[in-house]
Amino acid sequence: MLFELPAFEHIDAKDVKEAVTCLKAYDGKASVIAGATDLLALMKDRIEGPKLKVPAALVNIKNIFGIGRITREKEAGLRMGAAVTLSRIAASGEITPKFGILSQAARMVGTTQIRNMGTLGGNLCQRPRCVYFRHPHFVCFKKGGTRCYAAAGEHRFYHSILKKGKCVMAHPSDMAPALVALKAGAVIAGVEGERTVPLRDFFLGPDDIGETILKSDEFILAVEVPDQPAGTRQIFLKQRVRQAADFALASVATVARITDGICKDISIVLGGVAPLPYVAKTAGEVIEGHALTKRLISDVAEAALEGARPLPMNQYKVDLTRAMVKRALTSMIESNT
Amino acid sequence: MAESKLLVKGTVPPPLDRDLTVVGKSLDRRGAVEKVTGQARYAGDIKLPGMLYGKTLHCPHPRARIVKIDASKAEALPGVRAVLTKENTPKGWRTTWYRVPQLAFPECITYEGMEVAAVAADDIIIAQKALELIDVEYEVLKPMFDAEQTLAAPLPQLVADEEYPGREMFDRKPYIIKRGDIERGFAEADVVVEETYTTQVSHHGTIQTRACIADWDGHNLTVWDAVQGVWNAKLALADSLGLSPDNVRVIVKYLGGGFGSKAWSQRITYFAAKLSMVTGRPVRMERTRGEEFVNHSRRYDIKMYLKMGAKKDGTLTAIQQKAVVNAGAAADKDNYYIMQVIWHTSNLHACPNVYLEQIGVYTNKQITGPTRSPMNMQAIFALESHMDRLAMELGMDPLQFRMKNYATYQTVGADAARDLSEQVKSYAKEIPYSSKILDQCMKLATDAIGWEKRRGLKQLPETTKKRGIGMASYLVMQGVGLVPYAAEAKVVIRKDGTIDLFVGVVDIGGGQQTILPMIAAEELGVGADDVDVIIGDTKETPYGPSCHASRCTPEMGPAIVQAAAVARQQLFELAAPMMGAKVEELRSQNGKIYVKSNPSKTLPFKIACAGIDVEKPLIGMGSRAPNPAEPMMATFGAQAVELEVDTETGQVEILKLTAAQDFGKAINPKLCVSQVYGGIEFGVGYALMEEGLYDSKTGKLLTNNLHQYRMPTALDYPRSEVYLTEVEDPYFAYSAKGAGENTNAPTPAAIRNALYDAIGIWFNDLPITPDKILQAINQDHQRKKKGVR
Repeated sequence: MLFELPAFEHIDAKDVKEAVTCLKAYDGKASVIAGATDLLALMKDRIEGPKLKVPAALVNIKNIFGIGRITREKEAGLRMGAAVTLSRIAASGEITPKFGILSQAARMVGTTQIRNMGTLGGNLCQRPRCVYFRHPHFVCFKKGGTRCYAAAGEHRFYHSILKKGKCVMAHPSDMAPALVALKAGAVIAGVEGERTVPLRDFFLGPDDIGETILKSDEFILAVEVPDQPAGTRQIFLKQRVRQAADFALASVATVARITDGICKDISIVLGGVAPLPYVAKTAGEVIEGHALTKRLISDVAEAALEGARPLPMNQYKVDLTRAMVKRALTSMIESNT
Repeated sequence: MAESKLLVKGTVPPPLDRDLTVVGKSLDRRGAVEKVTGQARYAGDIKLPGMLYGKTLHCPHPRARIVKIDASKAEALPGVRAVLTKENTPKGWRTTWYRVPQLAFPECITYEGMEVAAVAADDIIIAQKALELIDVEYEVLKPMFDAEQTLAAPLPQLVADEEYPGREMFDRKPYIIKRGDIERGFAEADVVVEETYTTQVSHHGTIQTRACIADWDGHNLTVWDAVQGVWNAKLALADSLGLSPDNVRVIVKYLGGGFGSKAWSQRITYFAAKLSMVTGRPVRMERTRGEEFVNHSRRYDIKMYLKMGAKKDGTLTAIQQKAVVNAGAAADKDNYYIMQVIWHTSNLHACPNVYLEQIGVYTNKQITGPTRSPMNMQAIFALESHMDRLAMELGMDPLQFRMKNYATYQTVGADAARDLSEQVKSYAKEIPYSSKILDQCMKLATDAIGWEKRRGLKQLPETTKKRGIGMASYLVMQGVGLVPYAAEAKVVIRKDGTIDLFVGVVDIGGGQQTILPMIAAEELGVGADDVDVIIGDTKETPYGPSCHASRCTPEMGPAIVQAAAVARQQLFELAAPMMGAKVEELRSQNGKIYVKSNPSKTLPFKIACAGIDVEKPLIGMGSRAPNPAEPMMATFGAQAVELEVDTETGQVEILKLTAAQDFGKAINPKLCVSQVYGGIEFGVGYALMEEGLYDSKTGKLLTNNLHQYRMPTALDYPRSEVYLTEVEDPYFAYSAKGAGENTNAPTPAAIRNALYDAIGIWFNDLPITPDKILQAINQDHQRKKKGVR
């Protein structure tokens, strides 16, 4: 905040092995760097605490073969390297129209400059936007402190109404809800090799220090999206205070197959309202196998927000998110893709 | 011949009395290509040989006492060249912010972010490291944040003599404007409405953060600064550092925005200068964006209680107001305008009975200072919101209601409004305006928005999106000839035909380096490109005011007219014999001198210049006179907004915004309109998104970056139509009364009034963010549900 960027070592990893070896050697003191749009700001602002250190070394993964590529395979669906920029996703021909929700979400991220630099992996691994987390003087729970300052402090915009715990931040990613709705998986590279986990299991809850299951010597190598059957409809909606350079007050990602008016395999995932991309499971169950009528949409929206326990100053998010779910479902009926 | 009313000292040669050929043209901005192509070198871009890098250490507490400060470890760090703290600088050493002397390194810290040490080192990383090695032991004191809570509490025990310098000038002391009989005014009213309005902390958000290079050569100090005035910077620096003004030179070639935040040199400039004097090397300092938020003056947050009464026919009978201004740790009266809120409330509309009270409260929030329409914007928001509320209660059209109460005069002059010695201003005097066509502005802005559509919008089909139209008007005390009542200009014409205009002001971005030579060119009768301008440098230029309060054109304009006319007159004396005509018969236009009675008889300007002695160029000097007590100089305007509110998401989309201004006349309409666009952007941000948030327990500023402090982006900017209505005003250069600053003042109220028109809810707290809109709609539903039952 008041500081200059601290000195750090910069290592260009030429392959996965070098990257993970390096991360391992630094034993938690190194960080992966790709677009750096979030990382450098955190470093400049000295966001640190007992359990969060300003990295001493940055391991650049952008030179790893294939990490900046989008590949489309008929059977396997879509594979996007972690270092693919959000601009690419917003505009890529491989992505539209079959995975259109990814372009929709990517276009809503930050600004043109952020999208040009920011990467898919970075978007999934970004840290909370809570004003207290981002302020060097507040050693909050996420930094290894004992308390959450936002719960009784300033929490109007970037905080949760669902699944709150020791921390009440809301996950800021726009790509995450869209990818979870597409049932994407994260390919994680580590010293032991690669493993793939469903993205919905990639994010941790409010009682964990970090937001993802990544260990300090791991990083996301790619994201895999299963092929979407014909007739799949996808909608991403995001509400924010201003029309660019802003995170979601709430976002909704919906993916469903609609044949003869009947809704199948629906995913409704909420962003900006919970510490992780929130899968509105009950809502999906309400709708599964039914025709999307106006009445049913209303019920689904109710079900999606079931269990919402807003903070004193973000109660509006319940109404807002409910309205957005309704809109997303309504436009799914209307859209003909 | 009628005596000239132009505001200058001494006389002016008679005007050329012909059609204008330069003034009123939308010429391109000088320096624009350099700026947009990255060639322009701002203060922070300058690198000098042997230059050191400076940084400051900031106190993390809003109120604290330094028990001990130890910089020895920092001093021992290799590469560190000097560390300044209160231990090794003179005890009474002061910096100056807006005429207010502040202790450079006080014992008591009165706001979060105040500097406690300054370091110069070989590079910025070492400077940063050095800061981390300075040990400071603080006694943390209980701070004051909320203005009303502070008012209700006993005066705090001071910990050191200078803890709150200048507080006795205004702290907790009400200043009052009254006229007529307020009780009678309310008794005569058929409708009385009472409301409370609050406005938020906001920041300037200049694209260029504060930056400077100070270079002391053992005798002279040269400073490349980011400041709106080179002359006030020079004099204040000389005073602070014990130098003769002759030995201080301040240069500002390009400025990346100011909006009042750079009205005077900032503290880093003083620290950089001192560090340069200590080390004998140039020192560069530049603030980070975070420092810019936490360490710099902000807009006053104000709570305004407003009660107004009117008769059934719409005649205003009474205005009562109490404005509580959180002045933060402003160090003195000059940093705080004792009547700026209530002056506007008292003068925008005609009302015989007013009782208006303004109280400034010293708190431990960041210092306050000029911020594009300081206090006008807040005052206008409350007043113009309240006018619509009253109009609704009266069942009157808001535009008609304003026209009904149109004010043709005002009662408290500019000087009286700043006079601290008199706490209650009770005047019955009616001071006319030098010019005023606010009525035309209101008409134009509302016509352009389609005011008559308002009723029709109610009949739109029932959807989640609602449309509304609203308006607001404003006035600004402007072109007032502020302290030190000096603005001078020099025009030099040389034998080779070159013409130089010397002006000691800064082009803050308003286009001063373009429009000031246009004034000179018009008065000389040459093309705009024929006049070179020497600007933004105290070397060679006479005194010029700092470019704030929209004062540059109205103050410099008359001086430039005088300087150019004097120089031209000398040239005419040389030309007259060459042309076989009398001096008083000569005129000039487009680079030619001609005889008035026989315009075909001409002499090129350049040929006439050949008669000038090479050793003795022609010099014309001009000097601005202070404004007279009467008439009152002010500018006016009105804006109207059509918007759409999404009642399910709280999103507000401004479909169209119209703005009509009474600035007198625009020297360069294109640049003038740009200023209005900038003002609208400020107004939209203030109305809908910008907000400085503090942690309620610690008082720390939480929104200290550009993502949490939301300024509008290009995508948030509404489609705008700007109209410049022109009016003659003989006191100013070509009727240019001043423009740049205040066009943000009516925007928030116009938006807020349109929101009411759309959804029938009044919003009294700024900014009106989606959460507030959704919450209000929800409450409104609940109320209506209950009502139905």
